[in-house]
Amino acid sequence: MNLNIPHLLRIEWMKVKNYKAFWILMILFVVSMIGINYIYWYVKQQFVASGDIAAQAAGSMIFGDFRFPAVFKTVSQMSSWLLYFPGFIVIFHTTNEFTFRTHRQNIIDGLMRKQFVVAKLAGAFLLALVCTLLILLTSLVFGLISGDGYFSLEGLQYIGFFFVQSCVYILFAFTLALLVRRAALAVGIFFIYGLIFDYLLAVWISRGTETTLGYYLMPLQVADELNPPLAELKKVIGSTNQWIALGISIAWLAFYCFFPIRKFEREDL
Amino acid sequence: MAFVLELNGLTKHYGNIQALRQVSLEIPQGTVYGILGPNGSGKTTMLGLIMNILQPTGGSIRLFGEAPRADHRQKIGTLLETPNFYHYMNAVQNLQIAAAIKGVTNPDIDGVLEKVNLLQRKNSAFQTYSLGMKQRLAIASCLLGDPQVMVFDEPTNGLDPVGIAEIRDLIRRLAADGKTIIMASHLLDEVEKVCSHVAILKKGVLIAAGHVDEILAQDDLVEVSAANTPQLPELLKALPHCKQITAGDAGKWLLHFEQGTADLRSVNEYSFQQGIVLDHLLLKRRSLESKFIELTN
Repeated sequence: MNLNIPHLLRIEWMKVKNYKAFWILMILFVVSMIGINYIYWYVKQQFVASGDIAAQAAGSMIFGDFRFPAVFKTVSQMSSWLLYFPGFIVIFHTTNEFTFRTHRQNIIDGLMRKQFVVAKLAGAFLLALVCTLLILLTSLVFGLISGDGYFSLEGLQYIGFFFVQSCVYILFAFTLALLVRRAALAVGIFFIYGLIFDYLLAVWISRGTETTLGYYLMPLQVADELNPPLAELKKVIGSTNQWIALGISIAWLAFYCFFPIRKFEREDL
Repeated sequence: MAFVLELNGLTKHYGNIQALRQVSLEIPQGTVYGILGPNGSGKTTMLGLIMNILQPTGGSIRLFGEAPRADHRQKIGTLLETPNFYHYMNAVQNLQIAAAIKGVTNPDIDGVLEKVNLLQRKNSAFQTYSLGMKQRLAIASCLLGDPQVMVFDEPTNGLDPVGIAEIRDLIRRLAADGKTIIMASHLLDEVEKVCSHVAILKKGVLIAAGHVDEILAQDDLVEVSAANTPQLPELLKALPHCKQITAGDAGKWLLHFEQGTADLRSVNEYSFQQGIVLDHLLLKRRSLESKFIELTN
């Protein structure tokens, strides 16, 4: 069975390129991503300019370090708050298919059910890749304007972690959209769950088991553990192993790929 | 004879509701096959199963003599239930997506829009279309790639009388080109005017299938009455070609003849020979509706 992913991506592109909400949310994401890093970078500069060593240390702890090699981790961590935007894009794009009943028409016109889901998954991975490239570019710009000419790719793994984290957020949103089928409901659940309940459940499980298990189990929190808050803050709330978090995140990604295909292949549309 | 579609014991349950029960049907190539039935009889469910948007509970489907595949559906122009398009896109953009999915390279989008009289509005967003225009766009989408088989579910839904006539004319032209057309409808007149074959569904059960002239054959009816002749049915039952005599309204009697065989002069002469002086003699065409009601009740 040939899925022909480039062909599927071309069809997805035809669907989104004329969709205004897609462009508005993408522009908002890019501007917000640059903006949030600029705010932190600017405040950090104020702490540095104060000349007070204690203030500089506090600034680094709270606002991160925008010099190489730490800039990759700092920008990834700051920007990860904005991963709701690409999630919203995927939710709107997916629920549109149900609202317009084009999910049925696409199958009637000759897409395989699996192809329909794989097209969305491939689009989601591509969107995560675009977000990651933007983060990489932003990191390089802030790194170059923050340092004293020193350049290093030492912390580049955090860009890779950001890619996995983006995939987890976007595919979680896609799975939710496929289950809920209504845009407003899916956006509401995604936002509130991601912001509050995922972490709340992680804390409860961890407290209940007196381990860091909750941070590994919850679908979004485990991806957040790839780009955890700065080390000093992390010491207070407990430390997790990034590589274990990476493995579990990839397992969740496998679930987000497998489950929607299976569900869509078996149900009445 | 090559069959475009073969259904064998096709069954669909929605929980306790049996939407389709053991439907077996063969649709030969080159026919205009009407699927007739009242609302809720299972017409759309049957087409949904054929087009793989519903999962059958039992039975099997064969398209073009093979187990159904996605590329079979690419070769069928299908309008099922409602026109489904991206609301924020115009006609051309929507048809480009449909063509890409169908694997049609260099689609003649202007050509198909012209055929359904939608060319002037090709750059308007779908959400600005009236129901009739949406229906026309759906039919235009079916025509992409010039498929040899088309499935239309209530194709004249939402169209005005001129639009209905145009779409009927289009279907006739497609049929004349040798295309196989499967058309579900609850409009008897529509089916009678364009279909060569018909299948009738009632509560999910296939109750009749075959050539439209056989299934929807309409008897000639002759309405007669005479003064004080309760024995009239007995006296006229031997009339040549008369199949049946039933009671009509207001003491009148209905003589049933096979289509095209009723002759008022012969009825009058025969009655007179039997000593009956008719005071009422009228040739009536039996309505298609009454035939349909007889079949589905």
